[in-house]
Amino acid sequence: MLTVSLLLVSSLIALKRKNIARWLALLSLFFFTKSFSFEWLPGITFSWTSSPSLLFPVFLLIIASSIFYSRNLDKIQTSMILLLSSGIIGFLGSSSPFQHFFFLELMLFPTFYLIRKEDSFSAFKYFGFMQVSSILILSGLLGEGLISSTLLTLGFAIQIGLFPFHSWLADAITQSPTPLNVLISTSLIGCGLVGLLTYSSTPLLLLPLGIVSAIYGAILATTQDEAPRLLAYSTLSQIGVGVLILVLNPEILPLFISIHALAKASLIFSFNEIFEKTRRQTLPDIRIFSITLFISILLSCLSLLGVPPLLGFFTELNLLISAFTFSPYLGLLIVFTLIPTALYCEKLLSIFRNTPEQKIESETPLILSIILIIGGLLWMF
Amino acid sequence: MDVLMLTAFLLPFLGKFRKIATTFAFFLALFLAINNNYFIAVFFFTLSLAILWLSDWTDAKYPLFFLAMFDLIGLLNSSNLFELFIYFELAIYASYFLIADPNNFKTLFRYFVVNSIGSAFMLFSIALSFFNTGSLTSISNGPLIFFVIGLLIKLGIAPFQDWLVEIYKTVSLSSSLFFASVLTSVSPLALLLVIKQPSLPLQLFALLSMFIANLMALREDSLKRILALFGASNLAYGLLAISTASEASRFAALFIMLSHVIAISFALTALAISQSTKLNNLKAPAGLELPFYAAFFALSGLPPFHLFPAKLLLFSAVFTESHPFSYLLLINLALGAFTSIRILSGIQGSIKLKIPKKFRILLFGFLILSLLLGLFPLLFTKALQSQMQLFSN
Repeated sequence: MLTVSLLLVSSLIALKRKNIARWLALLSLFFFTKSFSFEWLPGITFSWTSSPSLLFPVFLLIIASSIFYSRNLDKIQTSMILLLSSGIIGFLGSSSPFQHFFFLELMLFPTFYLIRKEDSFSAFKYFGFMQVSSILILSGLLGEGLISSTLLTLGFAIQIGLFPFHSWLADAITQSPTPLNVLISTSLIGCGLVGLLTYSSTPLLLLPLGIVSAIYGAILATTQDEAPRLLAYSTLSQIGVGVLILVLNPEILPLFISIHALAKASLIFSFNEIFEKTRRQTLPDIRIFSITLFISILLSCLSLLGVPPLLGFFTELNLLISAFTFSPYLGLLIVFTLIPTALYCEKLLSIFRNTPEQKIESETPLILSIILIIGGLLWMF
Repeated sequence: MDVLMLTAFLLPFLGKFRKIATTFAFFLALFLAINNNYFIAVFFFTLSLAILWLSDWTDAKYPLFFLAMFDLIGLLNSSNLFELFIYFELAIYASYFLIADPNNFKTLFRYFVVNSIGSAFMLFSIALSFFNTGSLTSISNGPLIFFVIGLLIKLGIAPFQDWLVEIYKTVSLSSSLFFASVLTSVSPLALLLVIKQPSLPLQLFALLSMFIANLMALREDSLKRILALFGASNLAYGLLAISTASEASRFAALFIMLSHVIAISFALTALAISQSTKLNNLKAPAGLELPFYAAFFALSGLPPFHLFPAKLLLFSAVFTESHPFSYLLLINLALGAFTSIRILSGIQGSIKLKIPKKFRILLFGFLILSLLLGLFPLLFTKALQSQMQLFSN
């Protein structure tokens, strides 16, 4: 795949010429369908397929918007964002286990470096968790049988920050610059879920962890006042839901990852926009008026809640059907997670009040949310 | 080869022309190596050119350096055990004079004593093997242990690493680069010539050495000591692969040792630039944060840097042999990772320093090399594969 190599090249160019690299990177995203294969090490071949899944266009869109948003970053940070993007695209198109492992590890350095700039403790927490995870994954890949499958499951569970391995997630997300924040909460987590889907043959181990993550994350999110932290816990809750989908109805997992990615990216971009204009992050202090932001936040929230005709509705419906078939109690638990989800969505929307202090206009997040509706409508027919 | 041999012995007598003559001899050697498609020699000559360029040595030391380099290449080419021993000893003698300095006489003396003990072990094993088999081309299994112990003492692999740490601490960057990247890394390749059968005691020894190095690194505060221990653990990975003795693992050993050379030189240069000695006052030099972090990432074997493919190749080679200790390797990997977390978490902010241009260029050179080989390791392995026949005959 040409995209990965071009992104790597542009990440090197970014060290000298930031804007040229950004445009080259944006251009490179169009070449994602080119299939490509070469021998990387003796006996290990890297190859990318030419028939990409649903996740490709969504992730490309999100990466494109992150690269677009990285205009405020310095040269090295931009370079790191591009390196991370190449890791994500490389992971998604990979076809062999070692290739997957390589790209997972490739994402570690740029993420570590970018978080380190803001807060060293969070960066080391992230690095430590990822190291443990990658050792588990490597031992799983090299061995075989039940033990190695369990190791792989645990490794990827840490990679996506599932309960009880979630403590790196909130810190890393809140301490990272916006483009990285978007990439972690959507694409990195997405890659981890794809890894779980591909390699884990013991998904039942994950069922309790998924339920606890979904409920615990949503409840924690309702108690937060800071927007980034609320969104981080919302991501944790959605990871839990994603894992439940993986266990109960794996076919719709790519759709779920895409929806979550679109909605979360749209929310993060919106709140970044609000923070840049008002310099405030505490939700009760923000009083603004903006039609575009209101629409995008509303649509994203409704999509997270699974309201028709948005795309989120279909995954929620499928999940509930398979959960109730599995066990009615499980179904009830999943319905229960919708209550705190609704509460934190209400909290996010409460920033639009009758007596606004400021008017804000912004188009970018709106595009992502509109895709949610159009996609939903298309899915229906 | 004969031309170079003659040059090596003539150079010290050339008076004030020594520096020019050495440089000329160096390029001649490089040319011969390229002409004969001798990749390993090209690799080490290029690296040592960088060291020469960086060095603050007096003219008198240049021929010695050339002699040491030439002996090490001769070591890789040697056809029997005695030749191997002689070349190794000559290289070590040259290195005594390279680090000789009235200020660090104690270090030199220690180095001399340790090396003599190592030599005694090696010579004893060669004699024993000759007595047993009547041949000098291969070494029998019993004496092999003594040979390896002798070599390990001379290489500073854990638990014999103390003298190497002393040298890192006292000598200048170019001298420590020579020790870390050339002397202690070419010589383990000699093991490829000697060990051709799987050997369980050696595998156990390599694992033990790895554990000792990694566990000791966990509670170290001195950065140079940590680097030496890191190096020791990387060499022990190589030793494990050599003693597993399958075709793939022998190749992995060669690959990881040459990768280790780049990694350790990268980290030593970064450390010398930052001028810090202790873990708790480690500061990244302002403007050079990226290569600085990258150096320690590269050393711990993480992508996109070059030690990662080497380690991956080694793991898969050892695991395909369905080695009973394979999982112990992964525990070592975890221990190594914790040490790298310790180093990276030790970095507190950045500090403004006046850094010579040479160091900057070298650091960025290592960064680019590391990235290039990490992303496209086939460039490296293709060149190395043609060299494997050197070690298989």
